[in-house]
Amino acid sequence: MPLLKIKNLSVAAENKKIIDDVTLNIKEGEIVAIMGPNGSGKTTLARSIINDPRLNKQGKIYFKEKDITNLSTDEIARLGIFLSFQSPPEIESVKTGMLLTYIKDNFDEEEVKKSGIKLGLPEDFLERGLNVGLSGGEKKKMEILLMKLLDPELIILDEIDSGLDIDSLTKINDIIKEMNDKGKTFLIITHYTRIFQKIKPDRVLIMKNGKIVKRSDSSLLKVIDENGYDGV
Amino acid sequence: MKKDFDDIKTEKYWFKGKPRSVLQIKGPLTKEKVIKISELKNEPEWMLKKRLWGYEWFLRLGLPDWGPDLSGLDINDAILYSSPLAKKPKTWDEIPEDIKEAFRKLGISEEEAKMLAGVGLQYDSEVIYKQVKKMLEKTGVIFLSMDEAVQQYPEMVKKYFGTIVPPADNKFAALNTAVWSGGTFIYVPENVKVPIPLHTYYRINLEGISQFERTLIIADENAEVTFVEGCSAPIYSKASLHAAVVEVIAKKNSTVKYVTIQNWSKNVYNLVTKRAIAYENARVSWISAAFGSKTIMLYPAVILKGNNSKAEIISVALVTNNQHFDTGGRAIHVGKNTKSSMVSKTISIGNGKATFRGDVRILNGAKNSIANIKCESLIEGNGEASSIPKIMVQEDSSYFNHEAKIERFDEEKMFYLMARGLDKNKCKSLVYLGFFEDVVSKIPLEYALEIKRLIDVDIEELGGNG
Repeated sequence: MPLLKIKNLSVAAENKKIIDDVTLNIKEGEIVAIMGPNGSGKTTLARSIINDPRLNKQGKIYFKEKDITNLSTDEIARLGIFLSFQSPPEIESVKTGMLLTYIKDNFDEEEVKKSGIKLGLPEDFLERGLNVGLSGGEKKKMEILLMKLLDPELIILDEIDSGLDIDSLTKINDIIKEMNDKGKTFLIITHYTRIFQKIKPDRVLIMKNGKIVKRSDSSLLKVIDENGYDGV
Repeated sequence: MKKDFDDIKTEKYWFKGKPRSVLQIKGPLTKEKVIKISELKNEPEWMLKKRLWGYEWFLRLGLPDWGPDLSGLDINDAILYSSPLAKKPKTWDEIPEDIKEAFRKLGISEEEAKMLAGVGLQYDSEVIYKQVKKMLEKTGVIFLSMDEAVQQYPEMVKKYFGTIVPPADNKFAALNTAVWSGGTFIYVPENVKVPIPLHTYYRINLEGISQFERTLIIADENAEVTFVEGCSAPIYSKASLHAAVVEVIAKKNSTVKYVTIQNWSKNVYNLVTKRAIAYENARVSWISAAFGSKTIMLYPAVILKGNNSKAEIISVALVTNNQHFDTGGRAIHVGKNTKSSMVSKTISIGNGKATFRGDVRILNGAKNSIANIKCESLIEGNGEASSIPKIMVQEDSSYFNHEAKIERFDEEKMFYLMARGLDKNKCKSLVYLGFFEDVVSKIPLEYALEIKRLIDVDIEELGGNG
């Protein structure tokens, strides 16, 4: 039984069709990469899994055989699906530390602080408004920190690599590998192959114009690197 | 802290108590009715004179020609005075069960009353209960209803009443002067520091009634006091008017902190005049948290008369559908080295509208004075917020700063927080509380908790539509 099952999903936003009849199964413990050029519908696919209320969906999405198509975003999150946002918003009135107390019942604040600083977040990140004054790369690190804290089962990373320097990319690679070794499932959305240093995707899918146009294994990465998306 | 919210239900605030009225005086206001109220209260001649002075100005002044829409308000149709009881209870036990129940629902029980330094309960026009701790009485602290103060401490009331807020100030202050009933009188003698807050709870419980309480606080030299007022009313189909006047006299080296937690029902016109005078080295704080009312016009003021006196005017407000809060503050710097600080934090939701008027005057001679205004707004949906500073500086050596900031809480931010597992109401609670946090932290803890509860009640009422 697949962990996530997407069946004949079509999605429109503001009356524009973005996802066109996508069917996809992801097994527990897999790392699946979804790649493709800008505007191919990757982010919309990720957001429709956690039911962005602004999207119009047709088709079905199941998580552990439970129909989650129309569950609210927070219910889906609580089932164990985490989306790392491509552009996490800045929310000034919500201090990061306060957010953590809302989303996680018991956590070791010192431990979280250490772990954030180790990832490269500023020392005072818990006292700041969420993401306020952080660079693009730091915001991504915050997403990784929240991911680790929430310890979800299915993790969708939407362009986690954008804005990150090479050292940070390596750190995040290590974290993904560590979590995957523990059985966590990853859906990694990216334009570039550089995120795959120490981790190898089990499957690589290519999206274009809202459709999955190619399904292959990690050998496809090399082809993309050499020839771009037009070449596959 | 979030655990505190779970068992809170809206009903706590909006229940309708049994209407009680043994004697009523209805509008339109006439001279005879003013005299009648004074007679009912068995007042001395000088107080009647003050009332008639108010009545004259009420006739002379028009409604404000600026600010929010007051067209839904019909002063002529209001109940100007209503006494809920024929005889005033002397002890807690003598309070009728339904009134006790009403206050109990609002979180005020006999036990709670005992915890406070002093507690007063006003039901419609009359203060029905007032109690102050024996140990405070011994120090000479006076905590009475204004009606009682007129009878028991006439010299003091006569000397100060209407001196800080004269009836000529505005039509509603004039109206209050003419028909006032109830309210709180506090006198804190020299060198006495009241360690815990004195609290009065105001309740409107009769459809169509206007509440005109009058409050006078005098802190003598080197005294300290915190006064907290809470306000609530059920929703009736007819709008109510609440037009209070509060005067504070803070003598040399004294500290007065005035905290208001206002949760009138959402069809009350809350048109209140609050003003303090601070003498040398005195500190006055107006702190308010506003949730209720249909329309508010309220600009607490401090006249910084003495050298080195300080004013703090802090407000948080949650403005939701069909509410317009026109609030602000006023600081008049007269003495040298005076300091004023205004902080306003407003959340506007739905079509809620918030206007902040920060009015600072630094008069000639107020050397080295400092004034700061900070206005922060959080907007959700079609909420509106504006900040209108009005500054007059006549003193070169003074310093003035105005800061205004708007944050928008949009769908994407909500989606983000929900994606972290928080339902809509929790997200709002997190965002609103976070926004208010630095101000709420200045309020005594039990009242801070009350504010947190009221935020959640509003969120609950807005449901999925907010």
